[in-house]
Amino acid sequence: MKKILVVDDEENLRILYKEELTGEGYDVDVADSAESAFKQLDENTYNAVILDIQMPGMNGLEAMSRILHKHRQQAIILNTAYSQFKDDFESWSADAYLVKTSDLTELKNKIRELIG
Amino acid sequence: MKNKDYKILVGDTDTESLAWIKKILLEEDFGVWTSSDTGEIFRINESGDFDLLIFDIKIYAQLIENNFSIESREERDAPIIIMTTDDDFDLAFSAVKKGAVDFLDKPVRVKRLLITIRNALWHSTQIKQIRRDQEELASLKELYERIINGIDYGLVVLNNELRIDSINEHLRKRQRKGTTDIIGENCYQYFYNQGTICEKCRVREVFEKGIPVKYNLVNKAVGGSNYYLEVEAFPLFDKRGEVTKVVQLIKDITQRIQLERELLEKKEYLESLVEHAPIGIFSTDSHGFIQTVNPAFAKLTESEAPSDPIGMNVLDIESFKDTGVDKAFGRVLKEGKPFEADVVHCRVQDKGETLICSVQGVPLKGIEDDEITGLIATVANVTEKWKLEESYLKRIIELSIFKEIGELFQGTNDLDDIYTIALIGVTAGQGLGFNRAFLLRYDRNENILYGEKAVGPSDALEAGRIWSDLYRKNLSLQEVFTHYKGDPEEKDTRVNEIIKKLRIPITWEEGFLHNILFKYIPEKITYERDSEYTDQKLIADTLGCGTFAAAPLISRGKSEGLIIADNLITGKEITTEDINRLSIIANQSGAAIENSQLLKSLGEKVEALRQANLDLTKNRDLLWRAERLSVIGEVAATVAHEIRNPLTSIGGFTRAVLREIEVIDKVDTNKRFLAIILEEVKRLERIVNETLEFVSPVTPRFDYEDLETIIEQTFNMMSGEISEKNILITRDFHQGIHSVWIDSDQIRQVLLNLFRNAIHAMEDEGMLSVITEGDSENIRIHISDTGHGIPEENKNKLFTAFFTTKSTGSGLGLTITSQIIKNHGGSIEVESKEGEGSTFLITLPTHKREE
Repeated sequence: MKKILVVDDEENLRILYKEELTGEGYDVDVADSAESAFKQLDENTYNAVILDIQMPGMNGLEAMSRILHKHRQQAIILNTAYSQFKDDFESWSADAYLVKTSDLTELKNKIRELIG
Repeated sequence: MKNKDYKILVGDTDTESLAWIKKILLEEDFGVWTSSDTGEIFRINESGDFDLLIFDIKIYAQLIENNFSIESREERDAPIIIMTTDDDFDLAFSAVKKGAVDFLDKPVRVKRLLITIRNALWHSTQIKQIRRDQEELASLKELYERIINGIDYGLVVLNNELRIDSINEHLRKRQRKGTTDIIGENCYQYFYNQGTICEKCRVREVFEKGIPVKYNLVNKAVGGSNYYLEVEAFPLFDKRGEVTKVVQLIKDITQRIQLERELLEKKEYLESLVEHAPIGIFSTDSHGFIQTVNPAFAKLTESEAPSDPIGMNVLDIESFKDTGVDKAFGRVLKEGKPFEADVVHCRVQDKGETLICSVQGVPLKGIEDDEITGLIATVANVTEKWKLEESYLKRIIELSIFKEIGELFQGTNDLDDIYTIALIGVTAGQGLGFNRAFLLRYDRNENILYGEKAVGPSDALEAGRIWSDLYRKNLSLQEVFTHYKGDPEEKDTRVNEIIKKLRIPITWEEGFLHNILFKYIPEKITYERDSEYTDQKLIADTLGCGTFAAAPLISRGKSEGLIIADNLITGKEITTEDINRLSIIANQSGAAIENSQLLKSLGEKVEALRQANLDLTKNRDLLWRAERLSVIGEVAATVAHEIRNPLTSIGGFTRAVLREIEVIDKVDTNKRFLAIILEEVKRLERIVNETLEFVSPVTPRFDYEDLETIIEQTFNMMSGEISEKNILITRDFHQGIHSVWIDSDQIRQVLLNLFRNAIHAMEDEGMLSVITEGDSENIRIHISDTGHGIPEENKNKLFTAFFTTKSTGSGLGLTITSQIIKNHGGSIEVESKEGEGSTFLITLPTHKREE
């Protein structure tokens, strides 16, 4: 079973994504901050990480660069309320950049495309 | 001297001896005083002027002991004879040493006594004589020295070896050398530090020839300048007639020489001045016969006295005859009255000219008496100056004409008036005095010159009538113009008919019209029948006059037309001056036309500006709306992403519910409701997206603004909303709100929001009051309404984004308000009671705060 890590500071969204992606047939773990995500990434191997950008503490962009530094092949999807980061140089190393919406179809499609 | 003239004092302790001597001396007829007491002898001696003193040795010893000193005796010159006893030679000798002239042995014998007395008296007389001679000599010497030293020139006496025998104080001081060892020194050594006799010295000559000489010497002073000496040397002869000494008198004549030289220079200068003076100068003797003249005068009168005016009588000089000057010269010589005449018309006969001269004459008088010895006169040719003054005067009159015309131009902007003034200025007698004047306009677009207006009589008869009329009235140009305008009758019909027919297409590339219109050259045209210039012919034919002047009308650097003027009636010649003046009036007219046109275009521009101002006001409203949207956008940006998360969540769950709801009853209803919720969420998302797209950072524009004005502006903007309801606005503005560091647009937005909320909170009527107060730190604005108030539970949500109680509200108004106030470094608070109303209190810093 493909494993996915969802990093988001919003609890409701963590529940939503876990519910929906589990329904899609993935094994979903969640983390409420970049720091706890690093811990889980050290303990487990994930096929994909869904990363929020605006979070208390370390933001998603910095977190991504840290993750990629350690796990070079890690698939990462930036999933954020902000559209403006899409043009940032830092966000280009993500496999996908999605703006949050209640319709998770695009997210699901992107995951399917990336990891099957 | 007889014996009785001698007074003899005898002192002796031996009274017998005393009496004896007295008896003998009285017998010899001497004046005798005797005493045996020393003290008494002292007194007697003091009181009487004795010629001889005879003392006993004892008395003398006592006297000497009591300071009967030799010195005092010597002054008196009375010889003393001492009487000694026992042939005491030693004692006698010592007495003589102490001043006695002789001595007698006691007992004294008569013969010996008398011989001794006579010797002593003779000796004393001799000594006195010698002393008197010496004194006389000394005082003579002093006198001589005083004289020699008193004179203020040098005196030196030289012997035949040219050594200095004596020298006076003056010379000694002049040499500035010590007084010692002058006598006997060589004069050349002493005076010039030379080893041999000076080259120019003539003292030797005086020694040899025995005759006085006088000569001058030039020497260099220490500073390098010359000084001059006058030397007189004369011989002193001895009894044999040999020259033994030469006396030299030396005077420093440097000052005199300099003075003479200066005088000479001054004299030469004055002579040269007279010689080269541009005015004629001459002098006569007391009869008026010319004695001296300078070349300028000779030149002035050369035609009548080609050889030399000297010797002529001033009264006979042709130039002055019958000018009044001849008589004036006569009066100068007769009465001694000076005279001055500025303008004298002197004839210069040969050339037939009349010169304007300025003549002055003053008498010459003797130095000692006031007798008139002649006269001295100056004659200056002031013809040119006089002509210049005349032309200045003319020019001033001319300028006053131009000034008057200029003032007339200033009084009007009407083009027809301007034309009339120009033409009147050209034709009026008070103006340029041309007979007729025509104004032609040039149409640049059509390239056509057409006649516009003319002033002038049609024939000599009319001219005579009009001109004499005007002349009688003696009107100013202003009056002529007023007169001309005020007369309703058609004026100068004939000339206007002529000119208005004129339409000339400008096709020439040369000729006077081309020159005037494109090169701006004023000209006098004299048309000749066979002239090839068609433009000249055209104008000459139209005017009926072959000679005319023309000048361009220039406005804004371009030709507007021209003025043509002629003297058809009088045939008076047109001078260069006339053309120049015409040109000036044409220039003035051009400027006036320009002003008139400027004024017209200014009026148009003012209208355009007014329109632009209106547009600007409209645009300002639009701008204000755009600004407001931009502020909303900024606030929206900060809140939009905050609501995206819940939206995502809500939407997400709704979808989940929608998927699984089918297992429960009332599936359809629930489905429909949930679908609606989803629809709403979608809409919200769309709004958020749109809002976010609109986001752009807004830079506040802070400045010191008048808050009172901004409040009033906001009320004005809301006047429609206010008048919809019956709402009373009260204001209570305090000091300190006129200069506040704010972004006026944003604060206007804040006030708009709060006022609008207040109005919404009130039903159909109520009161909105604004109170301001402030100091140098902060200003406070209280905005109170009498509306329904805010429920307690809503108070802390008031400034939260998207909170609203209004059905149509965005929920952003107070958020934006709060954000703006925060950006200003201020705060906003609210006090409210349900059913009574709300008060918003805004606090803002008064001044810019350093970051």
